[in-house]
Amino acid sequence: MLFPTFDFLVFVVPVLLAFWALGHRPLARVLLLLIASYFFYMAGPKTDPPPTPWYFAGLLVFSTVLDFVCGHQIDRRAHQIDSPDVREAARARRIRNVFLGASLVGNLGLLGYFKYVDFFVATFTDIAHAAGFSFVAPHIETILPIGISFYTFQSLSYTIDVWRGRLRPEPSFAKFALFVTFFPQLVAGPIVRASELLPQLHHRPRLDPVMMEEGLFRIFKGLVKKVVLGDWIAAYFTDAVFANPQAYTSMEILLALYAFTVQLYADFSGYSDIAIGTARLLGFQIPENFDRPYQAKNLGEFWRRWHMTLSTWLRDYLFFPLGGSRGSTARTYFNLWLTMFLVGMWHYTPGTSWNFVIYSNIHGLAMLFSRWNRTRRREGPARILAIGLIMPGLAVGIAWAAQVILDLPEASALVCGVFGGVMFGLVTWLPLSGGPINTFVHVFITYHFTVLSRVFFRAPDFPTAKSMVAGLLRFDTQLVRPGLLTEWLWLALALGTFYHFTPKRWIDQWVWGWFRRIPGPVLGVLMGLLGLALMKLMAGAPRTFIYFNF
Amino acid sequence: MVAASPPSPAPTDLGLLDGDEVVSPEIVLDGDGFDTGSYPPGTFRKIVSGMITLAILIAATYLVPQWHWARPWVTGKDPALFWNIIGRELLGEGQATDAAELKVEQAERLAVALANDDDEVPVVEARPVIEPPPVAEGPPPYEPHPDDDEPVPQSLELPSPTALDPFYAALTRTDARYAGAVTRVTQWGDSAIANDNVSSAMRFAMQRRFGDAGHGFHLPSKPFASYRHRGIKFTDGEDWQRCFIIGKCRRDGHYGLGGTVAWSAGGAQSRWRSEKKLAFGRKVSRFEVWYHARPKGGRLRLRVDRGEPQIIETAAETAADAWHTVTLTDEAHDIELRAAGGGRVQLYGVVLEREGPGVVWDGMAQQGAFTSRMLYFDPDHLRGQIDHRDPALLVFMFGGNDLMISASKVPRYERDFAAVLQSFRGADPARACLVMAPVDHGQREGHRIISRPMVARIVEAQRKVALAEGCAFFDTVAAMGGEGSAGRWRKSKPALLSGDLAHLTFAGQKVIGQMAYLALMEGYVAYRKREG
Repeated sequence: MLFPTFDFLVFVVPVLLAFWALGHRPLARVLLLLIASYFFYMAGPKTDPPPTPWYFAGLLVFSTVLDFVCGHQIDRRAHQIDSPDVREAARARRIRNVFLGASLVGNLGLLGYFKYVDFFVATFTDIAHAAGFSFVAPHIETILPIGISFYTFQSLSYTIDVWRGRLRPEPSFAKFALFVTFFPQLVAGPIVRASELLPQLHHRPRLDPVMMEEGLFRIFKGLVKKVVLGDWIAAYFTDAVFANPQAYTSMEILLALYAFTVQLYADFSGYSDIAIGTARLLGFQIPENFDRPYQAKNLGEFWRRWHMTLSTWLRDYLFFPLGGSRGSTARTYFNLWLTMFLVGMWHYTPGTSWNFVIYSNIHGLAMLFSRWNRTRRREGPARILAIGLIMPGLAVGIAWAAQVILDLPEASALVCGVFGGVMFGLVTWLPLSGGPINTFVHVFITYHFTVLSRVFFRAPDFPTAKSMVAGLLRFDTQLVRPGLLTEWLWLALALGTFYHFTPKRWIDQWVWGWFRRIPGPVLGVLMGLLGLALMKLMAGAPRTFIYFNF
Repeated sequence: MVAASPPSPAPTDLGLLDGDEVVSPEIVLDGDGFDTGSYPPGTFRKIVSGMITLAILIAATYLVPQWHWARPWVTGKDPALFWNIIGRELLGEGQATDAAELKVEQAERLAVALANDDDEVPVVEARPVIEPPPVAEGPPPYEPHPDDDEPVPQSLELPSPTALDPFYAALTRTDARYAGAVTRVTQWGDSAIANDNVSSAMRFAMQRRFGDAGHGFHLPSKPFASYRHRGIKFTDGEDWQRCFIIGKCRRDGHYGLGGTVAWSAGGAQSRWRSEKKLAFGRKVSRFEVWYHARPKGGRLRLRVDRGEPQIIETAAETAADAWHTVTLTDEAHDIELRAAGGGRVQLYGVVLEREGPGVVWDGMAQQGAFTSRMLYFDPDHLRGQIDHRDPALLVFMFGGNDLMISASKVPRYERDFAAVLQSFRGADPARACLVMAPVDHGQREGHRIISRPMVARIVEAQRKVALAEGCAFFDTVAAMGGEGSAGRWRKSKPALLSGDLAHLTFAGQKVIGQMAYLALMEGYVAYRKREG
């Protein structure tokens, strides 16, 4: 089900009223939310393309049963691994590993099949062709079950935490099933770990006036972001440019990338706001997913602020278990690259071919650079050497890659290389911290790095991505053609971009303080007006959230 | 149990993977917590009053008729609430949606297959050309073709099972490899076929199966910038003066077979060269000039492969449509035609053909043409042109521009459409004909793409008239997946409909061409089985 729809309003109001009424009956409130969550998952509105059929909820049941059983089996042998009997301890460890493996294989296998099988087949075919083998790939077309990338990671956190001894298994199957399917964050996050939600299911939900107001505020904020900055800009500008970049000038393509940056943030953080707000109305706290990411001064900080629940999940369940930054330098860099590569590949959308491999590697390599830049020696000739020796080589490497991978003409590839080299030189030369100008430059460069890399994130396929890069580097003299954007769209774009760089307190304190003073009936009118705007701006049919595709 | 270490304040610009792991103590999940049995006072005051206000506002939109525009959901117009269960499963709408989706997937697969289909590899015909046997013997038995196993996305609708028999009879002779058995198809249309992609898709598919008898009819001068004929490198100078039927620029209604007339008193020149990369149409063995002979007519200078020029005199005692044929060696040629003075020459077009056996598919488009513009032809002139060309099948693909008419004009549109079919079929109503409906046209409503409301009306009008006039009908919109397919084809991968939501992309044009070809062949196989 989509949040900004009449269907959701008709669904959520009775659920809230019933939940508040049953708040003092532990079993009833859990069962109510469990049934509501499955209904939410299965009974989506008509969208284009249509939602996944309701019976895909069977995968949710499978994941739930698998992880519940595995968690208990792992825990049953927990005390035996410290047994003085070496054989018994080894057997216990083996059995625990088998159940952990079953959970990993079961969950990641489903995710791999539904989300990545076309990528694996296409990659294999491309490599086979490159090696000179004639190979006809089988046509495998899967439907991506909505939310699978989110609930897979969510339920995996349970078995891994039980295996690591950081969480006791959940005794109640109903509570565990609710943890896996809790509807506010089921289909597009935030990814809530077992250790964050399960304990809350063992207490009476915290319901008080402030919690209610916070919930309403987050929903209001999320709707504004989604409707005004997410859907509207997309429907009237970015979609058209990404669909046919050849028809647009270099400046228009660049503008579309800025617009998509606004749109993506508004879309996903808007969804997270509504999810967090709805959970608050039910008395639950679920984690934040964004922290003004475009104010980041380096890429590492950006990923700490963007889709935080995914990036920290991979940090805690992959990067640290791999050894984090405790091993050798080479091992640390490998761990870094692998983690960031998987963060990027998590976003893979079926059919986008090599786009996300490039996107993941751009971010993975930039993270390596970011770490190297933070930890290297900065005194004396080291700084000059770093710039003088690496910069030209890097420029040549980027130019070569741009020519070979992106099929850019030599001149454009050269521009790409020089630009990359100069950026490297500038970031390397700048002190890590300093006054406002230093901060501004760091933020400016990080922001533009994320904006430009979005070409590979948003383009529907690799040829379109190449076409966009080529268009950007054409440097057309004509800028933005009159009439392409209305004044309102310009305003939405400008405000959306400006919003990223405003202090958090403007919203979290000032607007929040103003919102709290609004009486309930006025709030009802405001919500009604927002709904009306949604209906009129989007002809009653909001786009699905971008992160639904993952 | 693992001991917890209190986290120290991190620097604000700390990267995601810069810190150390913080290990939390083991969490025990037990019980249902302490419950006082009541919520703090005022917990629900604001939200419930807001909900009630919102409910009143929504109810008001249904109770006050003037506020109907603000209703969040309208019965019959909006999909059922909780559609995935109620609409899709309980109301059975899922089947229609799934069928439409299936059509798009089918089209996508076809597009990918056609993209991989190499039009540049010449087809080697293993069967020899034979002399036609005496009529009583009849053709050899039908030999199944691999395309017979291809699923047919959309079948033809026929007024009677024998409606296309004259066409299929000609095709049978071509299929039997009888010497000189050329099956000609002549197609007229609007911008849907303007760049020859739909028509060339059908031409190539037919020629791949039945043999390449050449390009067919070509206009003497480009009627619009995007006019082209796949497989011919065509250049024309700016010196031709031109008149197109959609401009209603001739009082006599003589627009030639292709609806375009070019004239010059001298100096204008056109040039046709075979495209050597493509598998079809590489060779030409017969070049025919279509012109209007008249007193004081000028001279045309024809040069083949930069050789000695031939002069064609267009002067005649009385004005009449005329043709001049040149036989060439069966190979690639570079042909120039120039207005060589001596008076005004008036051209209708040229034909580039081969001896066959094979199929020729003429593609003649008038960009921006309403169907009714075809009534500007002088009927006798048109009949003479068609008789000379002698096609076994006439194909019409109009309608994209007709969508602009208002719903109240549909009855008149039907009359006009019927008159066009009658006029083209002329004195030979037995000549087979096929009407292809326009492609689905979309319009944006917010981010949604819906079918333009007139599409269904025009398709229905064309179907009604085609079947009444004895023509076969190909429902292009149904082949695309029915109502709403414009949006689905726009969003398909590869995109099959272009951004203007009115014209097919190159891939989409090939898909429609292939679909129509498969529909025609379904009928052909049925004919051969029926005829033994």
